[in-house]
Amino acid sequence: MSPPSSSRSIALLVVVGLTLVLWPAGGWHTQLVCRVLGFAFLYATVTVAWNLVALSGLISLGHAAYFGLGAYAAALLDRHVGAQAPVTLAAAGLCAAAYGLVVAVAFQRLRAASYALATLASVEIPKVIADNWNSFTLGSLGLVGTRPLPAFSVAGMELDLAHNITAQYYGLMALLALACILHALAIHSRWGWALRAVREDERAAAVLGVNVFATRLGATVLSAALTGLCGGLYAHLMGMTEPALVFNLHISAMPLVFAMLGGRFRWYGPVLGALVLYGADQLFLHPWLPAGHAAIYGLVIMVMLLFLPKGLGS
Amino acid sequence: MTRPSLLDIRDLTVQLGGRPILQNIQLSVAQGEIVSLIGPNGAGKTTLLHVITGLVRPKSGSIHFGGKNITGWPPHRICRMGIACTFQIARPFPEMTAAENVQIGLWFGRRAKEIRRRSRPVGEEARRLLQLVGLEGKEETPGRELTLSEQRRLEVARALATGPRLLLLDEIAAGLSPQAVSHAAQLVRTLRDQGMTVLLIDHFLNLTARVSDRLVALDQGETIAEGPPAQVLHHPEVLSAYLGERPSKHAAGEDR
Repeated sequence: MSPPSSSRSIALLVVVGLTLVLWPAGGWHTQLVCRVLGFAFLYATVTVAWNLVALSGLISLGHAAYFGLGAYAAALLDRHVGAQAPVTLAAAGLCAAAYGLVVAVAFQRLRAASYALATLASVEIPKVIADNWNSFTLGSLGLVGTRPLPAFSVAGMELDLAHNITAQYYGLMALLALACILHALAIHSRWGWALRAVREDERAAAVLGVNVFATRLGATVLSAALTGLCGGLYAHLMGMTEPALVFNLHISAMPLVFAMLGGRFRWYGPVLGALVLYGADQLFLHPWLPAGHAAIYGLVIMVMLLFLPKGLGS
Repeated sequence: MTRPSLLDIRDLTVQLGGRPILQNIQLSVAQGEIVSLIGPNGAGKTTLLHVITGLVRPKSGSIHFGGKNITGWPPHRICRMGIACTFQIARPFPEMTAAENVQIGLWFGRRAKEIRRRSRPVGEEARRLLQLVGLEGKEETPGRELTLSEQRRLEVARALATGPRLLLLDEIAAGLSPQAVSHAAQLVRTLRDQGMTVLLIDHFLNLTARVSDRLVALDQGETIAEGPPAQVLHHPEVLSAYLGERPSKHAAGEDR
């Protein structure tokens, strides 16, 4: 099953991983870089989640729906019920998963461009509700003042996710590591075989005993849940949730760009793309050209499609 | 019929886009039998196979397999019941190697549980099946790089990987060299000797006379003749359908 992986890129990845783990220990890190890379981990997780659907042969343009629903579920529970972060995050994942289930069932006959368009449209429903239900969601102003993540201690080590940026950095890195394991399973397991068969020829897959619908449904619901969890984390990390931000097309398009840059069919591809592009964008490009990142994302898509259709990881 | 029937089709009617494709088809295939479906283009042969595999839903009628009513079941369940098929236009998984193509059948077909239980090496079993259809040495070749004849054989190996009791072969000998046709005929005979039941489509009558126990002739969605090969091939309606002495009701199209 496993495509012959070049040991060079694995070695490169180990080096990158170790560097990311160890460099804050040097003491010369800045809060800004930690913050940016922490968010790079968060969006890399969203990219991995998005790619689960892509591995089943469907390009989703609607992941902002799952992300936004997750963010709103967490922020609303925090505001109206005063629920603690573990509860709000679980709710974020479940709400998004429920919407993913609806999408998977409702759009089960759609493929390719029709599926992409339908998912793009699916973002509008939760967005319009969040935008207009003033008494509950505070409308387009958004929810402000969501409490930060809690502080807790693991094995005697204080992990203050509320205020310590470095702790957040490691927390998000751990989340990404879990996402990577899930992604590796989606490529190198029996489920991975099913996804691959469905992606390459679903009629042939069906007559060979692969349950096409269940394979896609599983990928979509899992992907939505993970994206929703990331949305919930976003609400707690940013402290504010606005419809125009969390239901933004940018959230849907970003994973597509990252995954295409990094390579969709390797377990590390989407992560590689997200870390490289998001990091470069926020740390180098943003200070010089604040409004330019959309243009850069567009440029990356075009260049990749023309010259490296399988991504950097290939 | 002395042997118990494995596949039983009753009053099967299929419409696609409001157009009748099959009308009131009755067909029984006995355990261990090799039956050829023949008929001109557009007769509905491929559609009949697609209905049996669950890719096309019938409008009315019933399909029983091994005593179970499988009408309207989804394709993956029908596959796991023990019906496997090849496609008229071969559909290998293009980016997978030949061995991986076969492994999909091993992982998800009827024998998947058995294979996992015995932890028999999947790769070894895939190699054995590829060898059976004459694709040894092609294990690592991607599906898209195989020749047409190799892709057809790959489809047979892949179908066999699912552990079928009934094998549906759609035009596996069409467009092949005489030598390759002989190979295909030999393969079908080998499978029969192992107890496989086979229903095959043979528009060009390449395999019919060599391997079939029985022929069923279709024309314009209806059965026009049925019986031993020699008898059906000389049936006046079959002759006229093939020689075109009678104007066709429908414009001739590819039968799917």
